[in-house]
Amino acid sequence: MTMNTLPRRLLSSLTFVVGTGLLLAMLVMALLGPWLYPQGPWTVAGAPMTWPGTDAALPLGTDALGRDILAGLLHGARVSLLIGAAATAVALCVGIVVGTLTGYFGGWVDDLLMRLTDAVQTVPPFLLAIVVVLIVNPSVASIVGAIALISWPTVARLVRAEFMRLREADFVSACRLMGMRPARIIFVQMLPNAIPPIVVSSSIMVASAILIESGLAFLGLGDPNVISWGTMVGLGRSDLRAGWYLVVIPGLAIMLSVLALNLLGDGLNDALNTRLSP
Amino acid sequence: MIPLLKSLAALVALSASFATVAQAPVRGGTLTVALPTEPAHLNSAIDTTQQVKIVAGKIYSGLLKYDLKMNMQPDLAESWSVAPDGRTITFKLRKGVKWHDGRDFSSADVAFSIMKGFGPNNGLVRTTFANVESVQTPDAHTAVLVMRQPAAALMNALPVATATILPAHIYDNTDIRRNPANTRPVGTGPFMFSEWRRGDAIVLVRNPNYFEAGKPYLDRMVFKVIPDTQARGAAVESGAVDMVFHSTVAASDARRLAGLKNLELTTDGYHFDSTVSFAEFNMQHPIVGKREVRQALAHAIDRKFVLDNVWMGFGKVATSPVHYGLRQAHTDSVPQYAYDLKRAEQLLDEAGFKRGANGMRFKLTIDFVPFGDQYPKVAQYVRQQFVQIGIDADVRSSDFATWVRRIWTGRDWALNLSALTNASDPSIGIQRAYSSKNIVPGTPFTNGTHFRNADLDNYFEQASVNSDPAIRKRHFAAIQRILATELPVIPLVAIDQFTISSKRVRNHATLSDGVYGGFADVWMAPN
Amino acid sequence: MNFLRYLLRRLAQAALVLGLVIVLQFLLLHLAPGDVADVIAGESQASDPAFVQQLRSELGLDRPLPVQLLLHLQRVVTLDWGQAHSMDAPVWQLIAERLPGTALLMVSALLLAIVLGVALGILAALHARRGLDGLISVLALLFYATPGFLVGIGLILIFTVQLQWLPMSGMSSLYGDASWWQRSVDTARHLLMPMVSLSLFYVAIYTRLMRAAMLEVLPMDHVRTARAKGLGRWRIVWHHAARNALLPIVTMAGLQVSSLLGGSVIVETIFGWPGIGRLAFEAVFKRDVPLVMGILLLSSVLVLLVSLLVDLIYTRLDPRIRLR
Repeated sequence: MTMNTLPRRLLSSLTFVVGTGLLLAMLVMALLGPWLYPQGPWTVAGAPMTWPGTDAALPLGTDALGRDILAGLLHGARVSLLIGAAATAVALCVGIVVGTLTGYFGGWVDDLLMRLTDAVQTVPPFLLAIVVVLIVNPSVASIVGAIALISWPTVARLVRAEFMRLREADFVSACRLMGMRPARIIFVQMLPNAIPPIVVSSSIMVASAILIESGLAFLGLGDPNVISWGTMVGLGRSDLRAGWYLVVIPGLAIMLSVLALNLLGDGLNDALNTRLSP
Repeated sequence: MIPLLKSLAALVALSASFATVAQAPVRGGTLTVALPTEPAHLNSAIDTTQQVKIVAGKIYSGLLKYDLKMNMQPDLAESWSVAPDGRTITFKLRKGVKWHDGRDFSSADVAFSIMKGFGPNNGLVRTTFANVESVQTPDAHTAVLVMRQPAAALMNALPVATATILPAHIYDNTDIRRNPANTRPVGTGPFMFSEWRRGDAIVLVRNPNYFEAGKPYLDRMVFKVIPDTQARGAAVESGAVDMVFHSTVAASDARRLAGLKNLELTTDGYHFDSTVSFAEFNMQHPIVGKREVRQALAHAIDRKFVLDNVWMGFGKVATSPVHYGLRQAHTDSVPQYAYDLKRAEQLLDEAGFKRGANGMRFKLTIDFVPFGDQYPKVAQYVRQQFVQIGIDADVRSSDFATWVRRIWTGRDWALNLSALTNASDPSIGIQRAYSSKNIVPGTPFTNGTHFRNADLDNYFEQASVNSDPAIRKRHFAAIQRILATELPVIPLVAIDQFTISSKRVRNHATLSDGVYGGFADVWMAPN
Repeated sequence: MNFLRYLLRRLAQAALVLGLVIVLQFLLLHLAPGDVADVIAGESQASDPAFVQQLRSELGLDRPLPVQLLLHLQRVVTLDWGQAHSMDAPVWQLIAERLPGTALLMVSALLLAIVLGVALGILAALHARRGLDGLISVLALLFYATPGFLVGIGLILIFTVQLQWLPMSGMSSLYGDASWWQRSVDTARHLLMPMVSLSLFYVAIYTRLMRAAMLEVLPMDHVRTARAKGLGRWRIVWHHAARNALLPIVTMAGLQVSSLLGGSVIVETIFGWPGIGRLAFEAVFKRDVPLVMGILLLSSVLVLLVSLLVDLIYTRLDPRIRLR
């Protein structure tokens, strides 16, 4: 299992390349934002409801209060991607911990934690996110928390499945017989083997986090102090007939980033799974 | 010869214009109205939300109607007289009126409604009607209100959706909030309740025994629940509904829709709403509690911009919380605060809040009422303006329950963007917000700023009992001057609500309560 | 006997989960500041303290939290759904009125997703790594990535605003007398866009799943035997290959009831569709605890039942899975 075949496999996968390319484009957008528009996305830049392409200084037009859509798009890239990444990171932490505990120890620990996982997953996830965001006022922190809350069960199950599989493996039994401490077994022996499916799914999770955030913002539950793509959609919704570009432009940005992340995940999946199959 | 021809021509022209003006109402048809929210029930005596009032107003009747100049007209009351000292008001009631279930209407229903119906239960006019000590019913068609003290605003507070006359034989001795008639109402109005498809629509049909003979003209009214703003706009554009009311399409859409061949827009018929939006302050806050700070902030908001871009020009820049439509009370001669960022910064410096090392003077959180699309936009605009003059402002978004709790109970707020309906008189709509006697923690839409001014309280009290319009106008002018000087509130826009309807719908805005009235005179022209 | 024990264990687990859900949701809702009395009073700009206080005591909102929780649990056990605080009707009635709407939307969306997903998946697998497969895969990816509200709004802009073919709101436009046929057509016209908006995401998932499953099954022995025997192409595809691949799809569909319910909130909001999703959203906004709890209870029971059913079918049909 050499490591240098992996990069080659990745680069030869078209999906991975396209996905990474798109994602890099998004990241460039995020970085360009503060540089091209240091005044931020909130300043009134021109006449309200200017259509894209009608004013050279405002290539993507303005919204109902005269704010530059392009500025919003670039600044929003940073926020949307950050929220997606942060929520996924938190979900991974919680999910890995829970999955490890249940997968390794089994027994009543498994029963209890799995019932808790079930309880969280039984409630329609989007509704749960709405309730949580409402309790703690809508803000980047509460949105990240809410999305993490509904995402960790999937990670936990994934890790648990891997651990249950690995627990019966010979090399683990050998370690146990040798008297290795559980913590060492978990961190050094088992977890590294569970990483590949986690990596693949985290790409998908960031994508779904971005989708959920945009859904929350669409319903009016976004953070009012930052502009994310979802916020732009939420704000533009009330003036849809006067300018559908208000919703479609950030909507397309969301779609492209979700696309990019999915392609990335697919590419990783192809590359990593080929490596693992016997 | 020629003079004859001329007069003939004139006659022809005259009769032609008469033909277009005095078209005869056509009987029949269904009028469909878009409802933004499904009402919880249909009893407007205990609920003042728009969606309840618009349906209940067709099923029930009030004592009076008011034309667009607020001249009183008979509804259930045929004639009325107010004693010179204002302590008794006599209503002579119409004879032969029947409830939708066939029972006879009588003064007992009026007495019940005032003393146990809307009187104690309508949050908006409760204080006004608390002045009624009792209602005498010497006969079945006479009701005499005996007042503890005169209530100048009362005679203008009697349209159906505000002072709803309920059937005593159904509601007396029951829990008014749990009575099943709240969802299957029995009224005396031009339309009868027919069907309620939850989440979808409410259907009313003509009352064949309505007391105005030959009316209503419409066969049926359908109230379709369409929660999405865009969907409502599309519905009225395509003819799926005939009417959207109370500005419930996006303002940016409204102008475009009004320009279409088959639609028209009117701002008539919202006298009883007369809402003014504002930014109000928590007078107990350490920073905005200082008058100079409030004055500075007033200079930082361009109200014309807000009017033009958030309300799309539907209204006027407000100089006081009293709506300009309330001609008996409104005045412009009050201290004004022009849009002047330099002056704002100067005032803040003088108040001792200089810019710090990071360019900021102090932090400020902006709250706003989570109702409608406008207030988040105003909040963002205000925040941006404040940042320009060195205030580290941020916007806080809450849902309705959280917002209510915070402003009136929790009190951890500094600036609140909201709006208040004036109703038809400042004594009803405004007094509750600024009189120090109405500081009631835990109850929304009382005096949330905790503004206290003894003179203001005094003027309000006198205005509420004095029937002389000239004296009242003077008192209200004084009140507005105090409010503009002490500035517990920065008025923003006096809103003109609008109705967009198909041109086929006639006579829907001929009364002051507009869409919230009975619609007995409304008819639909054929295609 | 083994199976019966398994069933009982699963039921017991489900009951425990349900209990956890109820308690957690109750606590969560009560953590939110403000209550329904604030909302009711606030919405009507009512400024009467006596009224607000009376409302609170009527609804039992001024009792301590543990007491309220116990009362709630007692009502759940006795199957008493309670009265909605914000609407003048019992909770079960409000839910019953809106349930058919959501059921219609979800079932039709799911059916469309399965039918379309299976068809596209089979097509893609049969043309694996060639033109049509690439096209279908790209399409699936697009469906997956496009946010639901964008699909909904896009459909409205095209079919209602531009072409004026389809109504954009509600479930029906007929009032008064109409024949059964007229009602059905009317409802179908209203259902079309919301159904497509909700299902597109799942079409993508099932397409990819079906394609992957078919690619696994097609090279297998029994398919090659059938081919060697000279059986017709479509017969092979359907009888021998696709049917085996269907099982994971159907079970996955069952497990996605929860996610569909969440997705229906946005679709129901955009299209004004009278359903449970939107009712839940409005109820949370209004802090109408009995109504929210009723809906969540119903959806949790539904989800648990479906997942139990799916598990049972799986264990029955696939003897390779041992019952623990």
